Formats: sequence, structure tokens, C-alpha cells
Amino acid sequence: MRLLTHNMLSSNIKGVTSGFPLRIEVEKMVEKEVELNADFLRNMFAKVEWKALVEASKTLGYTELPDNVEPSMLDSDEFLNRFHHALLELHLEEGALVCPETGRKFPVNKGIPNMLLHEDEV
Amino acid sequence: MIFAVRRGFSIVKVEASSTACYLKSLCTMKGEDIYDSLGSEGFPVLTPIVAGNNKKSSSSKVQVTPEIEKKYVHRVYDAIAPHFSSTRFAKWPKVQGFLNALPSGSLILDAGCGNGKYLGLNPNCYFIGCDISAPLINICSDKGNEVLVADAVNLPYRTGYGDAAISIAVLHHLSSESRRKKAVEELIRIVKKGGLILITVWAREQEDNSLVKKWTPLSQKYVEEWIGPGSPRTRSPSSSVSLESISETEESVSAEQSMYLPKESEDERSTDIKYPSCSDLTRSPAPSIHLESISETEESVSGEQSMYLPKESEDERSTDIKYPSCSDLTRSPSPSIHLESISETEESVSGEQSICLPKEYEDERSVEIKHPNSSDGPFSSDSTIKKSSLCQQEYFVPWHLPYHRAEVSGASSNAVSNGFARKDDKKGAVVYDRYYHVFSEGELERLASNVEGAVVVDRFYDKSNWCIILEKTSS
Repeated sequence: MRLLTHNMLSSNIKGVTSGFPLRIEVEKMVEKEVELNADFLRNMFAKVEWKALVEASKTLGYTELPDNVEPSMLDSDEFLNRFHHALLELHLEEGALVCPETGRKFPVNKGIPNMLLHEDEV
Repeated sequence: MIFAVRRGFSIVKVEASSTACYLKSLCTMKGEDIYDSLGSEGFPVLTPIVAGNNKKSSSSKVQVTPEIEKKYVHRVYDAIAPHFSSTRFAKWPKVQGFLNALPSGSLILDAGCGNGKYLGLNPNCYFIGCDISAPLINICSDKGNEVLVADAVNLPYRTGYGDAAISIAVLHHLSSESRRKKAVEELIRIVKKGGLILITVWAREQEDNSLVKKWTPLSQKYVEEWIGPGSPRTRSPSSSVSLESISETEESVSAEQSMYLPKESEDERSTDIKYPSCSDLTRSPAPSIHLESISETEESVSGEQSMYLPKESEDERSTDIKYPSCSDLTRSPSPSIHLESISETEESVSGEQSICLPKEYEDERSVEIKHPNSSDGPFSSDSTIKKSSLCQQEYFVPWHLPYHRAEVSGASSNAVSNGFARKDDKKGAVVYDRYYHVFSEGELERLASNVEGAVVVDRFYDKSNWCIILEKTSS
């Protein structure tokens, strides 16, 4: 699971009002290189909840993201690279995503989160 | 037992035969309006009741997976995943065109991505796929895609994040209109304002009707709780059914065949509640439906669909109830309904269809029910039914899993012994049935139009699928 995905996942358990961001429990993480797409990064920059991305990156061991950002930073290749790395190249392979409100754990196995709810959670 | 039916703005008292109050769950409700809304025609709409509780259904219940989907969608795809995936390689040009036209750098969400056929199709965009089938998602993941296991009716995505979304051949596996509508709502929710959504579903109106009829029509609306307590399976043998598989013959010899759904004698209907899939109707099941044999052929990859339409003998049809499938008509449920026979439905190959609507029932009725719309509207015997469409929209579509594949999967021997798959030695395959609600013309558009926050920007029919493109208008 990439942090791009984590940044858009929210706990949809019945009754939960603030299910984002999910806390990350790491058992195994990997880094996988992938080609940078500046268009995509610019598009994502507008969508991403930055604080959640920074926190998640740190959980996965990457601390190079600035705490505060502004659009002009997109002109910097260095920033783009870091943003790209955090968003797309850090993978949670094994672990869990934890609902911030209920503590319910959504397992992540082989990089795949399972977000299915039980019947009583719907 | 007497209960009140709110019809329009008047109250009509109806009397149900004491042996046949299969609405007992409703009858125990006190002080609650059992009709929580009026359907589009102004008829009372029965609230479907989830098995095991007497609570009125709320919108959250729409997200609970019904049994028929668990058995005839989820488990099937889980069991056939690798084989299924190996047959899903052709990229449908219309979908491809939609995806390739999206701006570079778009985030595209594929809800119900299956084997991930479309993930990454536009190299300038980023795809995230989800599906309810873990085995299929594993296959997607092995190809390097970003995927997760999730339910299309309850997506775990934040609102407005995606640039576009696709739902390719997904909604027809949802067994109620409210669930299908919920899935559309979710698709709209997860994209940004201005975001586009492409939805495709199997059409009832098939292009190539000469393809052999492989589908098993579910002539009775299944029941969400039909294998639970009170279901025909737990009743006396005289009720004459349980699940029998449809015998497979190649010729269309008229043979009595049992349906996957129970045929019940009328007096057994009392405890049965059925929920139609395409409208919020309830009905009592019709007994003894005879079908011509269904010849089965492999699902073709390109067309993937063919229709089989039921042909019923007239003498049986007197107790058959059919509902228009492409409207939101409702009627009060009524046990022991006797109907005039419905004119024979020709097995339609070219899409010409006859109407199968219940006629006013007459002297035999033991229920003094004032039929909604007795004097006008589609249920009237004099009604001018414009739609010349077959009511049949519920099907089991077989999937033949070759034995050598089935052994690898392992789940198939369990499936066969549990009765929800069968062996076809002639074809050397385990046969699974997949539940489909095929969409009639205009149905998808109507469904989407009833959802707020988006407008229809395109609709088309392609390769036996109804397709629609929506644009989100709300933020």
C-alpha cells in the first residue's frame, strides 16, 4: 500500500465521524522505485492532506518531507523527488491501518489493505 | 389479520388469509409505518426486512451483503478467480476510450476492478482499484497495481478525492435497487466536482440473441433469507422444493425443471417473504414453474451474454406472478394470489418481448386486497403497457470452471458438496452460477438520475451493455 492510497482511505465504520487519517502499524515496509510523473504530482499536491502524509512517511521511516508546504515548492525538483518518494515509493507490505476513533484494525497483507467491514460495523 | 395499507393518501384495509400472513415480521411492528415511502407511481413501498430482525430497514442496511450475493457472486468469484482472470484480457474500446481521454496525471478509481484489466491502461494516469474478492485483488496486486479489498457499496475512500471513477460490469451483481443506487452514490461521492464516472452493466436487451441461452432465469424473486428459517427448504417435503440444480440438456425438450429458487405450494407461502431485486416489491412465490431445459454453453468472452427467457406452460402460469422489472411499481404483498394465466411468453431471441404482468385477480382471491392501481396503471388488465419488455431480469449465469482448475482452487469440492456448484462431467467442469440483475433500457439512467450530485452526460449501448457517463456537479 502506497501512502497515496493511505492518504485517501478513511474508516467507514458506522457511526465514525473522523475516520481519517488511519494510523499505520508497520510490520514490514519496502521501497520500490517508480517513474516520476510531474503532472500527477502537481495534481496530487492539491488533493493530499499534507500533515497526514508527513506523519505516515515518518511511520514508514522517511523523514525528508517538510512539515509545511506551499505550491511554489512544486517548482523545485528536490521537493518533487521527495514528494514523489513519499507518495509512491514507500510501501506498507505487512501491518495494519487503525481507525482513529474505534481502534479497529484493517489488516494489510502483501501490500493489500482489507477494508471490508463486518456486518455489525455497517 | 388485518393491516392497513397506505395507498396514496388513503388508507385501505386489507385482510390477509390467516394461513398466509407471510408478512409476519411486518405485522409485529407496532406503531411504525410499514410503508416508509411511496414508490414512483404513488404506490406504497414495502420496506425490505433483513432476515432475523423486525427493525425497519434503514439506509445502513443497504450495505449489508444479502445472502444471494454472498453465495452467487462473492464465493463464486473467489473460487474461479484465476480462471476468470485468464479470460478477462480483451480491453473494451469504450472503456479504453474513456480512460485515455482523461487528463494526464488523473487519479482514477476502479470500483469492482476484478482482475485489474483496466488498471494502468492509461499510462499517464494513476489507478487505484478495489474489489470485494480478495483472490481477484491478489491477482491485480501481482501485476503491480495499487489495490485494496473493499465493498463497492461502502467505499473506504474520502469524499471527492478521485478525478474519475469506473464501474465496469459491477452493478449487475447487486441484488437490490437500493444497493445498486448506493453503489452509484458511492461512485459519485469519491470523485471531485467535475469528475467523470463511467458505469457499464449487462443489458437485458442482448445484441446477439442467437448465442445459446446459458442463463437460468430466476423467475421468482429470490428471498434474502430464503435459506434461513421458514424457508421452503425447512418446510415439509410436500412443498416440493429445495434447491435442485437445473438438469442440463442440449436440446430444448420441454422438461420440467426446478428452479434454483424454491417452488412452493401456495399454503407454504405464509412464512415467506420475498424481495424483488429490481424494485421494492414483495410477492408470494409462484409454484411449479416449468421451464424448458436450458442448454448451457461456455460464456463467450466477447459477448459474454446471452439471454434465456423462461417459457412457461400455461397451466402453471395461473399462479405465477411477475412484476415489471423496469419500473418502480410496487404492490402490497398478498398471499394466496391467484392470477389469470398470463399469455405465454415466447422465448425471445431477438429481444421482442411479451409483457408479463399480473392481471387483476378475480374470484379466486382469498385476499380482499385492493390492488393498488386496480383501475389504472400497469397492473390493470386494461392497462396500456407501453413497455414491451420481458420482466425477466434476474438470472443465474453459469461459469464453467474446468476440473483441472477446480482442483487447484480446492474450494470447488466444498462448493459441490454444499450444493452451490455442480459437476458437469460431460464438459469436465464445475459449474458455478453467478447472480445477475441485467438492466433494462433506461434503467441505469433512471437509477443514476435519482442520485443527487451528478448529471448524466452520456449514455450508450455497446456490446450488450448499457453504459452511462456521469459528471459530478456537487462539491
